[in-house]
Amino acid sequence: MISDETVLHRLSDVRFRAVEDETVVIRQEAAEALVLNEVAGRILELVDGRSTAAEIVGTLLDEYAIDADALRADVLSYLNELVETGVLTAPDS
Amino acid sequence: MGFGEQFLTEPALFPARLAGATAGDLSLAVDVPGGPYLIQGLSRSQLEALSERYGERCLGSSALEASIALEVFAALPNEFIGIDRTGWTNTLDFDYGEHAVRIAGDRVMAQIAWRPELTAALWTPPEAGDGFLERFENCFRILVAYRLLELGGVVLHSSGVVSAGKAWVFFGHSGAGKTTIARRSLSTGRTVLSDDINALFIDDCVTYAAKMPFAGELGHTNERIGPFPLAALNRIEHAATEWWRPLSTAQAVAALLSCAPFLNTDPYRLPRLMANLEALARGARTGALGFSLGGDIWATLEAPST
Repeated sequence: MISDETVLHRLSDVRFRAVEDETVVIRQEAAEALVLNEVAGRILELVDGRSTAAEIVGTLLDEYAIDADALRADVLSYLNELVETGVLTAPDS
Repeated sequence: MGFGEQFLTEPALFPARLAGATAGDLSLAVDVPGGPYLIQGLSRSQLEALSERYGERCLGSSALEASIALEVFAALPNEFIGIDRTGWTNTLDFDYGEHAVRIAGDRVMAQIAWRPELTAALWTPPEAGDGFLERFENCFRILVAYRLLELGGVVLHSSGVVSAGKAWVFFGHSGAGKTTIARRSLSTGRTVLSDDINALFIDDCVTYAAKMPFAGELGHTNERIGPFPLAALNRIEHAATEWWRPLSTAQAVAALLSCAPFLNTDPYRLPRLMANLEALARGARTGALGFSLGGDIWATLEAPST
């Protein structure tokens, strides 16, 4: 389960590209692609293998005028989903 | 398993250069999207086999110079591991590099390289029978995909149908119904480009679909028709009744990526592929089409409100 202190990594075969206000993500080894909305795409951009989930939330709070608790819940939810779909990995969680 | 280990007795000896002994010194130019393509190093029997295979697409000697080159070299049978083809699905190994892509398969090695122009070679036992055409075509279609990529286009696992002079391209996962749609369209008097692979490209701001010689069950002719301006790109899925809804550009790119063979697993060319797909999706009406077993997709597709 992802917590505030979890550091996430993109899997090595993951590539992504912003297309208008969405993000297309491809897992090359499986030749599978998915679409993320604007916020999820920005979250994916911020996953750099060093930042914690809390730091990602902090960055997004500066960018979006959203309630902090709601944003944190959404970010953790998105991160879990991205782990489950094989886009991210959370080695220490 | 490392690259080529499934197919080659000595993968480390994969040809480092696009060179070798050829089975002959004959050449053939063929008109396939992105071409013409000049196939060199052929024996008489290989030339005859390819000439019969590509029929009307074969060009005269005037096309020999303005072509993408594909050299055919002779390999020894003992360079390849014998494959028990019983129940075996034809697969290929790929080794992607920045300047070249190496390919290994059942009794074939191939390399597509940028030196700096696109060029290619394959090595295979020279006998024209015994699967030469299949081995050749498995590599040739990959070359065509890379060529179209650099022209801003793409090769797409899809069904292509011409209606009222425009091409409708239907794409989806295996079993989604591409051949079903093609067969049904054929029965209504429409022309099928292919129910397996079609070429898309942009020329002078117009998106076109072109017939490829690599068909599945339908469209297996070398008739030189088109290309046709693209009417729409449709991701297909089975449904209880016919429906259509638009896709966002991102949704279209994601769906198209999954249907762009050979290139969607190439990390070096992926950015270009995604850019091409985005341009194609922006330049065409793109949607998702649900279709039922007994329904009429054309009434839905060609309805004024769609």
